[in-house]
Amino acid sequence: MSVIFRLELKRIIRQRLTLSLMGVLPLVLIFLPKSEGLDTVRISYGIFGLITLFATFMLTKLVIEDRESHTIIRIAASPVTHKDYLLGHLFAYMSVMFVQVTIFWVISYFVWSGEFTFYLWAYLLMLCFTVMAICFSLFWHILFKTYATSLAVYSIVANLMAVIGGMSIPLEFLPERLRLIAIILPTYWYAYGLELAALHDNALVPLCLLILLGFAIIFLTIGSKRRLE
Amino acid sequence: MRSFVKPDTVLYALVTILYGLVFWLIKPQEPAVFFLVIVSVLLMVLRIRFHVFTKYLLIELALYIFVSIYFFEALFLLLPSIALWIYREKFYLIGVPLLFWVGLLDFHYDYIVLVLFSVFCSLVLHYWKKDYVAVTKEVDQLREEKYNLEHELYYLLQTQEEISELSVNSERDRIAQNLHDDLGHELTGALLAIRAYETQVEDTSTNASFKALKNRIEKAVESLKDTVHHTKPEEVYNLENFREKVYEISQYRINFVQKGIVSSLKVTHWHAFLSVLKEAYTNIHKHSQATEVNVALHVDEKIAKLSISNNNSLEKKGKKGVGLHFMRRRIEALGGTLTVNASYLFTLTCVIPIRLED
Repeated sequence: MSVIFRLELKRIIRQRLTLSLMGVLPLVLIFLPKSEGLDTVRISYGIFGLITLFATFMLTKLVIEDRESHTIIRIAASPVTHKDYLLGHLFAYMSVMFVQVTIFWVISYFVWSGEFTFYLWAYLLMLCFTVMAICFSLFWHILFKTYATSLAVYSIVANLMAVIGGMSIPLEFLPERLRLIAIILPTYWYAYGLELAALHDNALVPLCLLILLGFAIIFLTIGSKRRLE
Repeated sequence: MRSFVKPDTVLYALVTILYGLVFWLIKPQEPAVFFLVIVSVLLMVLRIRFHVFTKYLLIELALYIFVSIYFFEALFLLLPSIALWIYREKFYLIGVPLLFWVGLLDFHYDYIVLVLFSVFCSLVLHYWKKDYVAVTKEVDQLREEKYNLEHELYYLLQTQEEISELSVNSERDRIAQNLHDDLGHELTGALLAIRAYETQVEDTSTNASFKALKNRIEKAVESLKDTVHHTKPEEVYNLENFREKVYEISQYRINFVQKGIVSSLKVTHWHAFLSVLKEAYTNIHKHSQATEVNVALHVDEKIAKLSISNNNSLEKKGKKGVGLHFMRRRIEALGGTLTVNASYLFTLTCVIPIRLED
């Protein structure tokens, strides 16, 4: 597994454009002018969630590239098990994403300032959401044969998920009916967790974390199915 | 499309529909309720993905029943699992009256309708699956039979070719023997007579006709020798050749016993026995850890019996190989029998009548 992990890290580092966007976009988000209070911070974290959705998608494209170039068949014929291959990839993506989330969180905490409790819950929510986003991207890539198709459909779905789930616009602006549908989306529970943390209703935030992790396991379980072509 | 619509696929669709209905009925907007739904979906996905259909059944049942004490709608989440369990095993229908009773007790008629719906759909799917499996099995069997028949055809064609070659060789052998025994003896006798005459008559060197006759007969004898040599088949089927093949495998201790008048055996007998020997050696090599092989050839007035056994029974009693099956067919075509006894020691016995069928 460690061999795959190291290899994937090297491949990720070679994706300079993705890494630059992953670094620049959150910084732009931090230094945009904001009004006082936690509400705008919450929205910024929500938009950061949208960036995370796309960042994980760009990172996990290596899986679909392996399939397109038939590398996966060669790996399947080698002594590397599918579990090692999968875990190697997952840990590589998670380590890169965790670094991005941590940097963004630290800078945002010092630039925006506010109550530490909110930032702590927000950090935990971002970590869980990142894990979920990686597993979701993995699951998504299983559905498509080529990266181009996958990206085309994902860009629509991810934006819809962000809007309906309350990441791009505050949840209180969502109609009640739409909110009932939105609860099946993991993005809703991320946004809802941020809302609860901002309102100091911290007792329910751990449940949101657990729900996000539950989504992650569901997506991982389906996405872990080996597809060779 | 037809291959896509399978009982399993329809079941997954049913489970999804049931979750949709449950979701619509219980409206899990509260994080705790949604968490329960997520746990239920997660368990279902794990169960389907790793094919652990009925494992942890009681734990899950206990979980939902416990939660339903405080929140009745938790029992709704049991419905997709019920559908899955009944689909797998009809035995789980036993729990349905209990679910009805609980529903009636609390006047949850939507719950009762949903239970009826899931039980009915899963039962239909259960019987469909049963039929589907039976048909698939039958198709597999037919495919296997077709495959075996194709092999048999190939084998028979090969055997036919071998028999035809054997007949040609046998005929060549007979012609060579006739040439050698009849014509050869006559010509050699004539040559000897001419040479005897040459020693008796003093001056034959001047007689040109005599000289030409002697040369011609000498050439004829040489030519006959060459012809006999080239006509005789390269592969000889006799006891010597058979014995050579018996001792060919060096990794086993071979005990070869031969009784009776083997000269009464024809080329066809030897050829059949050699094939049986080859097949037996292949089986012993493949499936046993034998160190000793006993080969016995008994020939009496009416039958010839070849028996091959090894000192270690076969390791695997797996699927019967096609080699022995074809061999049996071949021996039966000669009017003989081939029996395999693997109860204690692996023994292969081949009996062929001396007078072969046409």
